[in-house]
Amino acid sequence: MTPLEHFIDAILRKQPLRRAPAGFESRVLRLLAQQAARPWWLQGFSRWPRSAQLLFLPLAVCFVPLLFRAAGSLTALLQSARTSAPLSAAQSAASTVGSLGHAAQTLGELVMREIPSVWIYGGVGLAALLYAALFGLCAAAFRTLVLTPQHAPY
Amino acid sequence: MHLSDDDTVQSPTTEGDRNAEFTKFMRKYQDMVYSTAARLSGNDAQAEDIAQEVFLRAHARFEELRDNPRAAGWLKTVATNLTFTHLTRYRKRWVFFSQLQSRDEDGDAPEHEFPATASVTDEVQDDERHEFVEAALRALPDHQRVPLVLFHFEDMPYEEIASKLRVSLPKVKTDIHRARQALAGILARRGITATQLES
Repeated sequence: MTPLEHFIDAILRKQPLRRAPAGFESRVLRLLAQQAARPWWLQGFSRWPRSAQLLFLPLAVCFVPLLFRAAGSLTALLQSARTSAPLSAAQSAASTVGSLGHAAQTLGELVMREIPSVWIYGGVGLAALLYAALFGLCAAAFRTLVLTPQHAPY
Repeated sequence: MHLSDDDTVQSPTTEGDRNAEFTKFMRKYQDMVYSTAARLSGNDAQAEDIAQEVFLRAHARFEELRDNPRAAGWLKTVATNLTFTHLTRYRKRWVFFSQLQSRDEDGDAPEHEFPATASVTDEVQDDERHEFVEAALRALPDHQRVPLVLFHFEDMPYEEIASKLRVSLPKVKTDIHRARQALAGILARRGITATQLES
């Protein structure tokens, strides 16, 4: 240990801990109280009740086909209404949304019926692979370009 | 076993007990967490934000930390990592403002004026010296202060500092050496020398 290193080490080791600001404790406790007062669905996923966590995944998976089905039903409903009465602006907009949903449903059914399932699974796998590759590439670029020594966080 | 030997509080059974226990936990470690964040960041306001975030995270994992003898280490690690994140996030802004100040070409510590007292070279009281050393640390540029603090306060070896900061080992050694020189220079101008320290 050089004399300089010894001197600085001695000086710094004699430093007592810095005292946290006077209101620090109450500030943290107030934030914790605010967090606890929020409903569970506004908190992070890890703080959700276990049953809600377990239900969330299947519900999320089921949501898309349910959305298609709802869009199809809405389209059918609006088509029947169109034949009986002139459309208002709101009905027209709803009809457009419904038509889009119907088109998406039709496309989905067509894809599922006409394209072999091996192709679909292969496509999904390829998309996942490309996503992972792109993610890795971006992560590598971030580490190289942003977290290089000249950009290190100090 | 609880975090301290004199801690005789039983396992909390209600939310109120848990909060009381957490308050006690926070009182025990808040100065340590705040010191780590303040010395690394060189900014008291940022240090308070960082320390607050550390305890919010600690609260979420309080069941694991309460009886854990490694709680202090966990808190220090989180405080250190959050400070790095903070420094990275605000670095561009910091650099912009820091460029408004005149600097040496090497990016060494600028010449700062510290409040002087009547007895500059006379005996310096401990409290006063502690405050002055903290101010001198804050005056160092980030790239010198951070490795210096990690080495002398956190007992981190050079290799680990280089790995944590993702820089080369020679750069860490150079930065720490320059930080020591800059700090010694600031302290010497205030009359704090090795001789004065030993007396």
